[in-house]
Amino acid sequence: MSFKFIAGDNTILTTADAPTTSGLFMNGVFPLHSKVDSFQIGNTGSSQKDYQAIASGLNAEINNDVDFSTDRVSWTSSTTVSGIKANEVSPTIFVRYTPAANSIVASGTFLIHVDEVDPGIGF
Amino acid sequence: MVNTRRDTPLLINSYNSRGLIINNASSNNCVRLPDGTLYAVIGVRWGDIHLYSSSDDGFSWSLVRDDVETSANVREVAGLFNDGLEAHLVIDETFRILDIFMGVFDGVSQYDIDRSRYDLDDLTAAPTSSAIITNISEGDVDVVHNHEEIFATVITGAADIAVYRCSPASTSVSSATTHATTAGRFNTVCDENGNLDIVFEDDSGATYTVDHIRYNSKTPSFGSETTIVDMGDTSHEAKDMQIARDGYGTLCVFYAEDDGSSALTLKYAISTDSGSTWSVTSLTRTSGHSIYNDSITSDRTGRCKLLGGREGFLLSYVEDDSSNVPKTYVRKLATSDGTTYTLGSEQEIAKNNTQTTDSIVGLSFFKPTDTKLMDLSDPGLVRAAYCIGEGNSTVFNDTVPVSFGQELLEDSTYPSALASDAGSYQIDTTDSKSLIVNVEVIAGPNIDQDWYKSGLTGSTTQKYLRAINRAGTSLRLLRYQPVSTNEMNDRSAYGAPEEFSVLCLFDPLAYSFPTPSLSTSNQQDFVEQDTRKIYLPPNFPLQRTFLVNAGGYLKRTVWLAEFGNNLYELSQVVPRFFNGQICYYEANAYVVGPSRDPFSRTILPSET
Repeated sequence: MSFKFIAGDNTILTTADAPTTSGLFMNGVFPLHSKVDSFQIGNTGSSQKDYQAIASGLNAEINNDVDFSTDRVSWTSSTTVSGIKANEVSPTIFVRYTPAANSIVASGTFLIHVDEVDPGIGF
Repeated sequence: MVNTRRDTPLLINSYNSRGLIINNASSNNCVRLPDGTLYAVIGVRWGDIHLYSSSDDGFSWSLVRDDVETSANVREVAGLFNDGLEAHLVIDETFRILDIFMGVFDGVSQYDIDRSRYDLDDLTAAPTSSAIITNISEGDVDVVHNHEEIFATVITGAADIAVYRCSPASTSVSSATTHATTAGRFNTVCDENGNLDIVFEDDSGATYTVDHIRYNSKTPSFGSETTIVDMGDTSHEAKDMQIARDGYGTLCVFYAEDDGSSALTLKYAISTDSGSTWSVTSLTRTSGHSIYNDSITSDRTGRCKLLGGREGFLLSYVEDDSSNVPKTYVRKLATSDGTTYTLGSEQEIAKNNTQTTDSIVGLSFFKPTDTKLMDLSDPGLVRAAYCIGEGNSTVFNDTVPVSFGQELLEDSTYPSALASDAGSYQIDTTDSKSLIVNVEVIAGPNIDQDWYKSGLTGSTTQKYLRAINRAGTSLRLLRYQPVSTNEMNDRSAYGAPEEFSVLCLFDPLAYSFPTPSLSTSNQQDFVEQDTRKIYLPPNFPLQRTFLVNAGGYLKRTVWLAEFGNNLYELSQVVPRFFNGQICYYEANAYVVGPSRDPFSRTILPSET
């Protein structure tokens, strides 16, 4: 693994200097309303990488209600940030949670799972 | 979850422990009309039988008649069968008649079956009463009806089955059609084609059996007997016999088989061919549960009840739970095709409205009139009355009172099927490739929610908080919590107040002082016109608790504010949001006075 999670409001451009974040909080969300937070991915490796983020975790009903965006316009269930060079910080990735109408009224968690994708030779 | 608790008991403190639930017999004493009006005939004391009614879905109950029977002769006579009040309530909507059939002591040596006909539109008028069947040794009668006639079935002194047909339009009663047998306990159900299906214990053979026989009123005659279960010897006994029909025409028999020494097995039998063949299933007792013994007679008993629905049945029975406290349970026997029946899981009733240490010794379903069937796809919509506690008298002149509660089964037995009303999420464990996100889903204002703590805050919240802190008035608030074990409906139903101080905005006077009228020497009643708005800071939610206390009264937390030498009740609290942030709580403040006692007035859970 050659990346770390960085807070979405980080302005530091280098991964080595940007502080690591350990979690996000989306409290007080109504069903059918959305809450948006953000994060960045810092490349800690020595080569350029692509990173793909998806929602995972034990609560499938929550995972289904999560989507991602890098421009806050188009939202998809997974997103990929490409061409992140060594020690570079990715653009901000926005994560949106919109509980379904019949969601359980309770507290829970989901995981933003990131896989690094090797762009391969030529990139 | 939305608070739907509005089921107040039928009666607190009955000294007739068999006044609602009887031992080893059946009583159709609770009825619901299609418009939702509920009626129940229950015993209050020995021979003191009352008729209750509720037209607001069980929220409040009216004592319609306190003289349904006033003599001490209602199937509770020492030395005779005294399993308790058998009162069968029949309401005919066509003829607007409310009939009550009861076994009543004839004053000599046996019971008669009395019929009292009331005018449904004027229940205060005196009924037409008569003994329609005489000299019934056990006083045991079962009464069912269709649109045309009422069937009253008894076991005669010779242990034969006798069916009498009663006109709903008049007091006329047919002569008996009799089937010669040696019958014990029995139960009946009818359909709109004049078929009366009877299940009974047949003691005439070398071994006792549970039998079915069909009577048809058009002929009128009996068909042939069919054995459902051969109990194998003459020691076994079929108790708490029940029979019902569902919308597919399937017959179901439910009873408790006592082996005569130590075992009691609950069994149900299904027939999809009008009683010609039967398939029998024994219920497996839940681990930790044990047989319930009636505390007065020490009888092993199941207190079985059966409700037929459009697509299956609802079974009810009593067992001791793992703490040896008698509890009443229900199970659904559901079908989608009328041939395959699936037994549902065991559910306990009355968990919210009673204490865990309370004995719940049986229920009585509020049955629809005539042959109407309920839709059991949501069994939470079934209403049942139940007996809390056990008496101590063999002739039901108890010195220990019992109570008769009632509720929709959605209250705790079959809560709403909406996923949002119950459940929880799991908590994930993060790893190096995952970022954990904590979420909290919140719902509408019916939930007692602290929006400030829930994180619905922001700069707008802080602006309102600062404004209230700068311009607010200091108020002393008092919070009174209801006590679940209290039996009263006034201030004494609450504990000592807790004190809070808060800065808030309180509207100026909203009323005018009275102007005496010299000509009439009257003056306006003014004090209780004092109703104002109060605005509470966003971090001060008024927490409320709703409960039905031991006296059967629906109580909620009372908040009072002291201001200007007056006490104000704070009610109808509404959270106000702007841009997804809690800004303040708006409430109405009503001055407390003789006509507005916040401790005794009836408040719906929806009055926030």
